[in-house]
Amino acid sequence: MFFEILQLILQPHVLFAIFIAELFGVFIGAMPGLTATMATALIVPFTYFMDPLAGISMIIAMTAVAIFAGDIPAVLLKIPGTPASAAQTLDAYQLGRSKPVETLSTDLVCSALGGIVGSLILIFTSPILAEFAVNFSTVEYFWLTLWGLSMAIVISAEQPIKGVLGVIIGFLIATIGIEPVYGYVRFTFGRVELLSGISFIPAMIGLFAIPELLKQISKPHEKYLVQLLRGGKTYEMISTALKKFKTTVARSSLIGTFIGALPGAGADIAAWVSYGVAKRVSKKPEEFGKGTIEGVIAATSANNAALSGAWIPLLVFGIPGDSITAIALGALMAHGLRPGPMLFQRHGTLVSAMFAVFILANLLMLLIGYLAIRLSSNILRIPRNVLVPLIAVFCVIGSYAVNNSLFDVWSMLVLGILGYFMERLGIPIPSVVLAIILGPMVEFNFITTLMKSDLNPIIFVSRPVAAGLAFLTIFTWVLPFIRTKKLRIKGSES
Amino acid sequence: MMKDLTVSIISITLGLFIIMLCRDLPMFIARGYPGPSFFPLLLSSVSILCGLILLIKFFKDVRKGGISSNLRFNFRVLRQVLNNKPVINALKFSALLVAYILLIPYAGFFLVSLIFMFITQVVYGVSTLKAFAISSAVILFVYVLFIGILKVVVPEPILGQLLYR
Amino acid sequence: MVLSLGISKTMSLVIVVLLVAVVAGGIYYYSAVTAPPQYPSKPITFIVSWSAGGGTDRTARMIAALLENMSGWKTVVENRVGGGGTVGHLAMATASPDGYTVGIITFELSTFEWMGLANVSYKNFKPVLLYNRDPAAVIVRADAPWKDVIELTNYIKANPGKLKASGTAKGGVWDIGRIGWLKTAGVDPEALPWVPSTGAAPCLQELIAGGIDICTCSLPEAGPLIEAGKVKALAVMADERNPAFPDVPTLKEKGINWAFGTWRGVAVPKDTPDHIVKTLHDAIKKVIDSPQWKDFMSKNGFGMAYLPSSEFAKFLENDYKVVGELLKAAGYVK
Repeated sequence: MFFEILQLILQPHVLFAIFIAELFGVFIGAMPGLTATMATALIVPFTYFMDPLAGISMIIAMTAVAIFAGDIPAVLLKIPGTPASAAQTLDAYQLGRSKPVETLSTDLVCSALGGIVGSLILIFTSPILAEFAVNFSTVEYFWLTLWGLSMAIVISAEQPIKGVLGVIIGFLIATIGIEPVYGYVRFTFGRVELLSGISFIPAMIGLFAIPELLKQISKPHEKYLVQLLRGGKTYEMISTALKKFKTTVARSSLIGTFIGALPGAGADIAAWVSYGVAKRVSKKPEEFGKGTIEGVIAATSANNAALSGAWIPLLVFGIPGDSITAIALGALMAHGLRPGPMLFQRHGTLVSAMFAVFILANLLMLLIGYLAIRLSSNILRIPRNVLVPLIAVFCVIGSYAVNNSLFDVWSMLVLGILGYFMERLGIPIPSVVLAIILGPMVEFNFITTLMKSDLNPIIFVSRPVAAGLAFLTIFTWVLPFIRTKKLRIKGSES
Repeated sequence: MMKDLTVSIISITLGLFIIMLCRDLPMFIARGYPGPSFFPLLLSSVSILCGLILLIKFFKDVRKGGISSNLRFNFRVLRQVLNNKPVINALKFSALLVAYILLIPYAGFFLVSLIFMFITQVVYGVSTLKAFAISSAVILFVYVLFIGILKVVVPEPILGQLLYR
Repeated sequence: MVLSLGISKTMSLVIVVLLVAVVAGGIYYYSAVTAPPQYPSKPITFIVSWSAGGGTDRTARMIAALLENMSGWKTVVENRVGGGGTVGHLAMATASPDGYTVGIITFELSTFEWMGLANVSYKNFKPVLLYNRDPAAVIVRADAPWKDVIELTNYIKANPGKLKASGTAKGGVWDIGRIGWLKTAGVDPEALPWVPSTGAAPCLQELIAGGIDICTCSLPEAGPLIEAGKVKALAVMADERNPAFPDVPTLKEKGINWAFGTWRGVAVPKDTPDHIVKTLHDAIKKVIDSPQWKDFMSKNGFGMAYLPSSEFAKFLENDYKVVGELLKAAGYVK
């Protein structure tokens, strides 16, 4: 069996497919506006004409690398390349001011570790985890998304009230368009383009990138974006970070895989939750948001782990865990691989080979990712008056490419200028972005849950998992109060 | 602390604005299910509440003293802001961006991007020839990548549609 | 600095901009004059109203790829996502009627006017052909007590409001399937309240998790879960049984005369000349007759269908009427 699998995955055309897919993935991930989902959709038609293993391997390898590569522009330019990189963008960028290559390399290693842990969980516990994950009803999703939303307040602990305002602004932005429960049209001012709401990716590009561009261009007398420090201490940084934060990596990978396995939540939410939890349990929570490698590690291991997690319900029950696996489902079916319990029996060897590709792809990512880091960090050697207009062009094409709509480009710009003022007023941008993702889910799950129970509120705590998540949410809210109390008691004792 | 005042005013205004927008949407539907304006109204109330808290905090700070001098607003401050080089630079860049996006539907993505990059670079002090060379190279790169390899669709121009096909 | 020939910076800037404009204009003029008249002489854009990777997008990309292979045409697939499909359909309807912008129209087109979302319907199009139909099915948990769809219908009639159904948004295709099924069986559609969901996959998961009792999505969507023994299909709302699911009876067999489902087809703006419609139809017909297409469709679980232009037009008109009546009956029409 083992030998057979090795023989399958070491075929030259499979290896070549993985290699090409990884190169493609680096590119897509690092380009703001081009997401892993879109890239998967673009390569799927090619996979129809390949043998099944090579085709599926391409998707696995490309998405793994793309999610990591989303951190590259986040570190270098403060633009998250994919939505899954939004959580750690502030920290990553701050670290990138002095040590871009070192930060990205640590990020890369943790991404790969997260991916490998996620793959191992996928390989060994698929059936059990899938059974658990598909039992999530809207009640559980309501609590999960509300918990995620609480992270917005956790991450802005200095002035929680401004964090709350950020959430409100983001939530309100997300309510624009056709409301998903009853189909009412809200706040569109009669514009057809607004019926589907403000698109998320243009909003994210605008909110993160435009304020930064405006800030950078307003001081053109400094020639470069950053003063690069010399001296390659990459290896030392990785090893100390790994030693110090090995529990963070492990915890984040587990959180990531689990959230990824839930069909209603993907890598972006996994990164946020993991980041928030890391801040809650960290010894130095005050450093989060100002450039801590701990936060970057937490988010990046979680989002790569979530990718593998998303395959769990897909393979076992044919229910895709995120938008990428939804496309992968099509690719599997195109090769006559109908997901479901029979898949493991009918195509056992092929499935095992696929699992092996998960591990292989994450290992190969170390090499390709490192090359990408080395190459891309040269961007910082470009003078800022050349670089800033160039990035602006990429922001425009990135926001256009999502839906092929100029309206999206305008929303990018408007939200960007809004973001500039919000930043100046101390309203945290990540809270806004998080609320745009989670706000509509909280609303949808809350209302549909009440519809199912005929308005009986007991449903919110009557199922055990829901009750557990409810407890977790409330715990997250009250924890800071308990902490300050404890500190005060300690203070008065001494 | 002026920031707190601004934020509080903004959040109260935002809350009231949303309440006004919600007047045509039902808050509850049928037998009391939360309707389409339930969450927006909830959010706007929280927004107003946050605004009030910040306002109270601001007046407390004022009573403690030290801020009142900042409250005086005069034209000298405005002139200072407008003469501030960074602010002017940011404004100039925003204006260029607006013009850039406005022109895309008329002359197409590639041509306008080329001109935008070129002008912006020159305005911020890159030499003419260098700016032109860099802009053209970038546009060529984007063209090959997006049109040639990724087959991404870019905004179609009203003028010169055939230029890019 | 480099161009220090006594020209100021502003001046040289203006010159370069003018130069670029003149060159671009020149190329445009040249290519406009020399454009050959024969169709198709340039790439054809297929507009898809749904996001990349979805079912409609996958079929559209397959058609585009096979057209390139078989007819040598150049094709581009463009996703115009938004507004629950309105943005894309509006873009197709308002494109210039020269045959270079071709729309992949979907079932939702029949609902837009009724739901008050956008003023676009089959009347704005000239249909080319229909290539896919997927009938709705009645799906319940595997351990549900009802043996067949009649028992279930009677249970709903006897206990109005007790069971909940889901599958898509309110007024979406599977919702209309539910309304038609209950109305034909003489049951008030209100007796089976609809809980909106964002698609068939989350709804099926919700069914397993116990949040709802009935899902009315298509059979292939539920395939893996039927195989896993988690859910069972009681009936399919089609004229004939699905060959991949031979054990699932149709509603008609059970005495409820109702068939309904989603469909996908190709259409062009209303004013497109007939010879272009015919050229398009013939080329796409060749595609959907090919073994590659049939293989693709059956492996993906899409139902194969074909209606030529004239019959597709009649089909669209009828679908529009039926959908309108049911939406009115359900109180969705605004």
